[in-house]
Amino acid sequence: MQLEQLFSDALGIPVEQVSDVLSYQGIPQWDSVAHMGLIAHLEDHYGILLDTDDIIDMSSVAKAREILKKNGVEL
Amino acid sequence: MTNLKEFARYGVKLVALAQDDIEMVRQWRNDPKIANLMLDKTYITSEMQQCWFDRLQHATDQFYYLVWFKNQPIGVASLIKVNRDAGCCEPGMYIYVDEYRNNIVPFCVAFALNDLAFEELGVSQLFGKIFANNQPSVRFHEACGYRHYETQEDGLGLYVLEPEPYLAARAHIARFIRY
Repeated sequence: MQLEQLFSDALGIPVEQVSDVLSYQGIPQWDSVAHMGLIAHLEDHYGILLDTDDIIDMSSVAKAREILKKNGVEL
Repeated sequence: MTNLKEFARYGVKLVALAQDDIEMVRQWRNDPKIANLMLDKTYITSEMQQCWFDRLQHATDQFYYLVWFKNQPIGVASLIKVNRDAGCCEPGMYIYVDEYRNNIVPFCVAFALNDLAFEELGVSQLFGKIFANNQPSVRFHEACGYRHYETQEDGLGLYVLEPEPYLAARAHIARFIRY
């Protein structure tokens, strides 16, 4: 499954709305609570555990891509 | 009265507010980004702050803590209207440092404060007041296990948190706090 689709599912937004520039709190749907759901979705899908500092740093789709790659995820 | 001067959990340390902290806290509290979140938006002068802090030293029903995260003070947390007979109080918090105002850090602070209230003060109910139009705060409180039980005429929603729903809600989110 594409990263964009994971974001779309977790945030409840159309996949067309997901791009690298989409940022945390850039849309009402991506707030603190949704962020936790998103992290759970990414961790479950890729079978990884993110550092809490990475969870805090995950401020955009582009940043998520960078953090996932750092954690060994091939995108 | 609690003699608890420090309480550390979830990567956060709550340290009883001290004289040396109050000017910094006053400036945070008067900053519009914080003042606008308050039910009482009154500008606080140095004299008002000092009087408040002096009264606080003798209070047995309210406790204020400086919130530390990654070795820096980032905000303020409080437990007010502590009623030991009724077993309840009202938690409050704000985070001043922009980098930590959202995301998982507010959960870390809220959980530390709630744990302190339930475990150290021994209360069984925490009460919250949130304006219905403040949806991010409503969602945050509900994610922490708060239950809405009344809305006042002015739109202020009244919420209560009890241990069982709190522990269930906390478990969902605290699993991501890996400090």
